[in-house]
Amino acid sequence: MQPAEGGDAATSPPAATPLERGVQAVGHWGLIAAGTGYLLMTGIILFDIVGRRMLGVSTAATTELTGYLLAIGMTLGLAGTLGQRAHVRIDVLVQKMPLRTRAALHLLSLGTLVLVTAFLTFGAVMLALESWDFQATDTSALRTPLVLPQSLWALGFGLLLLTAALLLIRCLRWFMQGRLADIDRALLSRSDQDEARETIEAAGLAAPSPGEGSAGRT
Amino acid sequence: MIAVAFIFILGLVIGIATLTGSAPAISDGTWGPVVIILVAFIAFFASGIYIGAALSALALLAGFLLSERPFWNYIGQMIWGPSTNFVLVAVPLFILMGEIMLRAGLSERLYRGMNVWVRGLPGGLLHTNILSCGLFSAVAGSSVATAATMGSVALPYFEKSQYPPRLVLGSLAAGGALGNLVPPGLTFIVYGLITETSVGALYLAAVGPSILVITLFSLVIAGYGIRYRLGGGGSRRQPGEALQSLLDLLPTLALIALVLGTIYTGFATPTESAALGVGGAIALALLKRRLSLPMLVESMISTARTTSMIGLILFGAYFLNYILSSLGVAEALARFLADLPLPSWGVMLLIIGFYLAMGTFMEGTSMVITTIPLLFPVVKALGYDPVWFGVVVTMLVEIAMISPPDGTVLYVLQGMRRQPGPITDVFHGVMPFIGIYIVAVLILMVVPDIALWLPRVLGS
Repeated sequence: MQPAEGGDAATSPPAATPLERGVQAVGHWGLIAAGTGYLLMTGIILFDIVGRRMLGVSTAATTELTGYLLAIGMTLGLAGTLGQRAHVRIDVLVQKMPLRTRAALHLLSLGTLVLVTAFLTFGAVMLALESWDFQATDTSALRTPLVLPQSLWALGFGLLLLTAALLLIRCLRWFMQGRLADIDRALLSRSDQDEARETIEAAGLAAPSPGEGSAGRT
Repeated sequence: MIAVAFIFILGLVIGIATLTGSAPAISDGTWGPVVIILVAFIAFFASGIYIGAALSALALLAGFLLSERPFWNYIGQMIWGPSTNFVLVAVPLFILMGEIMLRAGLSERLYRGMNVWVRGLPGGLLHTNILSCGLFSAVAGSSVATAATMGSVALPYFEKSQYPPRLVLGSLAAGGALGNLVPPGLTFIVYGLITETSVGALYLAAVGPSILVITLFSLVIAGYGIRYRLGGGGSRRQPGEALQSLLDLLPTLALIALVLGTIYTGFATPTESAALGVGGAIALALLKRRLSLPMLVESMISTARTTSMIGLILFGAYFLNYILSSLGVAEALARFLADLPLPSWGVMLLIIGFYLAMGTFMEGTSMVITTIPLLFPVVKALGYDPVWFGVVVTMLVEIAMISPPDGTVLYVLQGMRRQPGPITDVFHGVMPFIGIYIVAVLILMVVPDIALWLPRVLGS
């Protein structure tokens, strides 16, 4: 699904409905958009350094613009990060539980995420609406209307809410059907082996063939 | 185990204090809720709830239980301000620099180049492991990525050698963890952001301790080298070799010089120098003909994933801090710990023990974001220097990364071994280095000037 995942079926929940597939794709593009924002951020700051130190010109809004790109990038990437099972949890105890308990704890974790994301989304939307009502702008030379970055920021939270809620519904259905192993696969944190393999692939170095060494938690 | 032992000791201290009647009075009414929140804190974390979600859920719990204001209307304000902070902008930039460096194909030459200089010492290749990992992770940002990259380069050198596998794996893990302490590291930015400490001062303060830790590592490796007759007295340097190795080391050193040079000379803020670092990394990848659109997109996705991972925790932490500080919880905790019948170094030892215990099961960055808001007021109340504490915390984060049974770096190395063996090899191998780290933290407690001298001399 995601190129960064190394492409094995166990890495991401199988998306059945078109809605789920769509949301998953949007999450992936969210990550790319966030990354593009970070690259853009680099460009703005470099332009500012060169312009200010050498040519005496400046965007006069570098601090604000890069701040917005960061805030927006952080929320737009949230959903994709969930899809790649990369949000941090302490799973030492979870891993030691029998499958049924483990599945229940996964559901609890995901349920909590949905709940708090609902509040965060609500807060972010309220903030953007307020900025709209008051026509608030920042104090930089650009006088950026705050509603612009804030609504994109809120959109990221909304995307996470949708992604997490759909995933929760799917997992609850699996729970009813007794497909506990599927829940486990969809929600368990990325293993260290996943991470090692991806890093080695990324660096373009020869990956040791799996199965060598007795990897695994003891 | 360490965690259990720590809780036992803490219980003992508070228990004795209560029995002897010297414990601070717990009567001003803020304590009931605080205890509920602490219990919920532990329960949430233990049941494996996403850390960011757990922090937000705690904030909701505390808000609904204790606050009378409609706080939910202000969640947006609470987290928008800090998430647009210019200091925080450095985080994705440094991550992006590391992701690009990781794919720029420099690791092999770095290892080879470093080897030329240290292979004559007793301990030979093990020194190369520590130094090349330490240097590479300084520009690669992530210890896990460093251990994986350098490990895949280094491990073939050790095949069919007489080096004990435990030491080989242990030194690679220890070297990878070093990258957080060696500037520019991410932990300092996150710490600086939360505590409003100057990141530049933190980077200056990290220089002395970095040298201390690397020196101690080298001494221990030399000791092993002499005992097991490893390395040393090998082939002598060929005439052209020194020059070639300098060329191999040059790209990495140049990038470090660009990033740190601009910070230390005051030419750029840490955020600006991070942007320069991204520019430098792209230039290096271009020179090595490794730059391509897919490579850049992969780096961007990876950066976005790590940043959002940190982001969710930061959002939760800001939300929780806002609620807790409006309730005065951090102050209450600071008062309680400062009033314990312990000297300030005793409380500091408890804090250090707390981090060591937590580090055995929790990831480093999340540990800092979660705990610093609560513990920083305590540390300040005890009269410790914020910059000094930042360095100590960073060292504790490094220990967390390599402390069994949950050190990610260890599993990465285990997964890359060519000769099969149990994970306990890695655990055993890394133990001496964890010991050294702890000794270094203690030395830093006794002689804080190892960290504080440089920022005092060069700072404003």
